Amino acid sequence: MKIIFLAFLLVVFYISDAFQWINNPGMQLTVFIGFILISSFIFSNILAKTNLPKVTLYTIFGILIGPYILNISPESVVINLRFIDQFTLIVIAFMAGSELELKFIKSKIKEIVSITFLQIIFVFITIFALVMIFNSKLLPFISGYNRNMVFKVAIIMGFLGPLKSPLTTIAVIDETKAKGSFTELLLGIVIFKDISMLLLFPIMFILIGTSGSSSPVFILIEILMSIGAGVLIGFIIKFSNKILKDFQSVFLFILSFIIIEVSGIFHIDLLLTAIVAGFYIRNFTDISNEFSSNIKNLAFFVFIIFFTINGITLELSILRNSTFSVFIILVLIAVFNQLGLYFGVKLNNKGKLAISEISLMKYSWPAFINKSGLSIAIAILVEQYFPSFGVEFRTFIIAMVIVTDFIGPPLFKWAIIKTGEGKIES
Amino acid sequence: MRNLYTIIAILIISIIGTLIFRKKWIRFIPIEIIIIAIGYFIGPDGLNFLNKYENIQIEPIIILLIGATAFLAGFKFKINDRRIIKPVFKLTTFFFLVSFLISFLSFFGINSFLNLLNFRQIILIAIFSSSVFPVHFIFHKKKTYSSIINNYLSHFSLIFIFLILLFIFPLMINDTLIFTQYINYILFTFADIIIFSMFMLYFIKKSRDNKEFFIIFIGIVIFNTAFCYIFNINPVSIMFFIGFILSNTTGKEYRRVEKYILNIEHPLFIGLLLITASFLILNNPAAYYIAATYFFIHIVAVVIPLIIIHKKFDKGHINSTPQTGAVYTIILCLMLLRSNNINTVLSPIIIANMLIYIIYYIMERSKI
Repeated sequence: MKIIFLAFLLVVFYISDAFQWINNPGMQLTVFIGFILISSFIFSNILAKTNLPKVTLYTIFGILIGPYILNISPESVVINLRFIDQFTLIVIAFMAGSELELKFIKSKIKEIVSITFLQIIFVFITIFALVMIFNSKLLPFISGYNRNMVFKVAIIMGFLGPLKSPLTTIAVIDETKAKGSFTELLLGIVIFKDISMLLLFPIMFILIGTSGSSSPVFILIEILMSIGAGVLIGFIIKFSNKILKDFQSVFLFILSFIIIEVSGIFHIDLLLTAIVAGFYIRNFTDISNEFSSNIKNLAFFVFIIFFTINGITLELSILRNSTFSVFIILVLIAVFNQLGLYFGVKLNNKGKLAISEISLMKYSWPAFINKSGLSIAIAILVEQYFPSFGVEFRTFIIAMVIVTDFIGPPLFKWAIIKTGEGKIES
Repeated sequence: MRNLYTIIAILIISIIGTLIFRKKWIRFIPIEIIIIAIGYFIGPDGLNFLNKYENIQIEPIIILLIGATAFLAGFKFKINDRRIIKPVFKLTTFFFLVSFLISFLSFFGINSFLNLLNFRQIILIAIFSSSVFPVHFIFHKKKTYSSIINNYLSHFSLIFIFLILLFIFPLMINDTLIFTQYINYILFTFADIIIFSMFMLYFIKKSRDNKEFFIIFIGIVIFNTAFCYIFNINPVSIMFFIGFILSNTTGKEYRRVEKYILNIEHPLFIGLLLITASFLILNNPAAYYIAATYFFIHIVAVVIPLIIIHKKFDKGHINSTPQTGAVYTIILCLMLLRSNNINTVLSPIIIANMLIYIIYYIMERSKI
C-alpha cells in the first residue's frame, strides 16, 4: 500500500509539475512542501528494513526527485525552502545542548578536552602535511601555484579536516533513542569539537592573511554574548513552558526564527547560543523532559524537509573527478581521529577502562566521519578570497560532504546499536 | 525574510488567541471580533503586512488552514448512534430546504429592487444563509429538540452545504463550462475523496505513534488542498468528506488520534479568522447593504424552520455547536479564487456574522 501511494504521489506530482505553474509560485511551493513531507516519510518507511538511518533515506529520496534522476523538483521552489537550513541548525543545537548533563560533563571534562584537541591537532597536521607534500597530485586544482599559495590551501584543508557535523550525529542518536554513558561522552566530544572549531576559524583566516577586523577581544565578546543569549533563551523557554503547554513546539519554532534574526543583528553565534539554551534547560530547570520531547516533535518535521532538500541540492557530478582524493583524505581523517581518541582516552585512564571508554575506542569512529555544512560555508568564503581556485576548491569540499553524507550516518547507526545504547525501530 | 515575519506574526497571534480562548474569562472579551479586526488591520487594506499576493510563503499556511479546518469539521462528526441517522436526515433535509428556500426567495425578491447580485451570487448567499450558525444564540436555553439531535442537525446541515458546494463549485468559477468538463470534474472529485480517504485510513491504522500520523495528516492536507486548487476542484468539500469518512470508518484509532488532532483546532480557527479578515473588502457601500439584508434574511431563514421543529418535536434543550470554523473555511477557500463575482458576497457575510456575534456576546454578558 505504501509503495502504491508513493508511486501515485510521484506520478501525480510529475504530471502536475508538467503544467509548470509559473503564474502561481505560492501554490507550487505549497504542493512541493506537502509532497516532500508525505513522500519522503513514506519512502523512509518503505526502506526502514534496510536499517539505514532516516536522514540518509530522506537524502536518497531527495536525490531521487532531484535534477540527476527524476528531475521533478522545481529549482525556484527549492531556493524558497533554503531558510530551513539555519532553522535546522538551531533545532539540532537545542537537541544537542539538552543531551548534555553537567554532572557527567564535569566528571569527563578532562577526557573530552584532551580527546578533542588531540583529534584536531593530529588531523590538522596530517592533512596539512599531505597537501604540502603531494599538493597538485592530491588536489589537481592547485597545480602551478607557488609555495605560498599551496601553504594557504594546506592550512585551509588542515582546518577543514577535523570539522564534523553534529547534525547527523544527533539525528541518528535521536532516531535510535540512544541513551547512556557512551552517547553522552561522544556527544560531549562532538559538540565541544564543533565549538572549538568555530573559535579556531578566526585563527585560520589570520594565518592565510584574510582576517577582517576580528580581534581576539572581539571574538571573546561574541562568545560571551552568545552564552548570555543562550541563558536568556533558556530562561524564556522555562517561563513560557508553564503558560504555553500544548504549543511549546510551535513556540520553539517561533523562537528559532527570532534567534536567527537577532544573531544577525548582534553578531552572536547561532550554534553556541542554542546549545547553551538547551544545556541550561537540561541542567538548571525542571522542564528538560518536556523540552526534549517538544524539540524532538519539531525535529521530526524539520529533518524530513531539510535532508530531502539536502539530497535535491547535492551536485553528484562533482563526485566523478575527485573520488580518489576525497577517499584518501577521508580515510586519513578517520585514522587520525581514531588515534587522537585513543591517546586521549589512554591519557585520562591509567588503569582498567570503563565500558563507555571501551565502546568509545571501538565504535565512535563513524561519528566523526560526517562533514558539516560549516565546511561548505568555509569553502564559500575561500571562494570569495581566492577566486583563482575557489570554485574548484568549493567543489572538492562539497564532494567530501556528499560522500560523508552517505557513509557517515549508516555506519554511525550500526556503531551505536553495537554499543547497546541505541535501538533499531521495530 | 519578510515572508517569514508574516508567518511568525500569524503563529504568535494564533497562540495568544488560543490561550485567551481557553481561559474562563473569555466571556468578557469578544475575541473573534478582535482577531478579525487585527486581520483587517494588517491586511492589504491596512498595513499591508499580510498580503498573500506579495508573500508566497504564506500560501502553504493558508492552504493548511483551509484543508485542516475542513478536515476537522468532517472528522469531528462521528456518528455513534446509527439509529438516529434516518430521523435526523429527514429533519435536516426539511430544515435545510425551508431555510434555503426562504433565503433564496428573499434575496431574489429584494435583489429585483436593489439589483446588487447576480443569479450565482444569490445561490451562493442562500447556501451560506442555510447554515445553522446562529442557532446557538437565537435559541439559547429555550426548550426544543434534544441536544444530541440538535448537534447532529447542525452537522448534517454542514454536510448538505459541503455537498452542494462540491457540485456547484465548477459552475461558480468557470463561465464557459461544458457538460463533459463538468462530468470530469465530478469524477475527479470523487476519485480524490476515495483515494486519499483510503490512504489516510491505511496510515491511521498503521502509524506507530501520533507523530507519524500527524506527518501524513499535514502532508496530505497541504498537498491535496493545493492540488485541488490547481485543478479547480473544491478543496473544502473534499477535505470535509475525507475527515467524515475517516472518523466513521475507524474505531479505536479514532480515539487515539482524536485528541492529538483536535488540539490544533483553536489555533487553526484563529489563523483562519486572521487571514480571512485580511481579505475583507469594506470600502464598497454595496457590501453594507448586502450585509444588512443577509443579517435579517439569515435569522428569519433559520428561525422559521427551527420554530416548526420546536413545535413539532419539543423534547429538550437546544445546544448546538456554532459552525463558524467551517463557514469561515468555505469563505476563505472561495476568496482564494480571486473571483470578484464570488468576493462580492463574501465580505458582507463576514460583516453580518460579526454583527450576530456581537449580539450573542452582549446577550452573554448581560447574563453575567
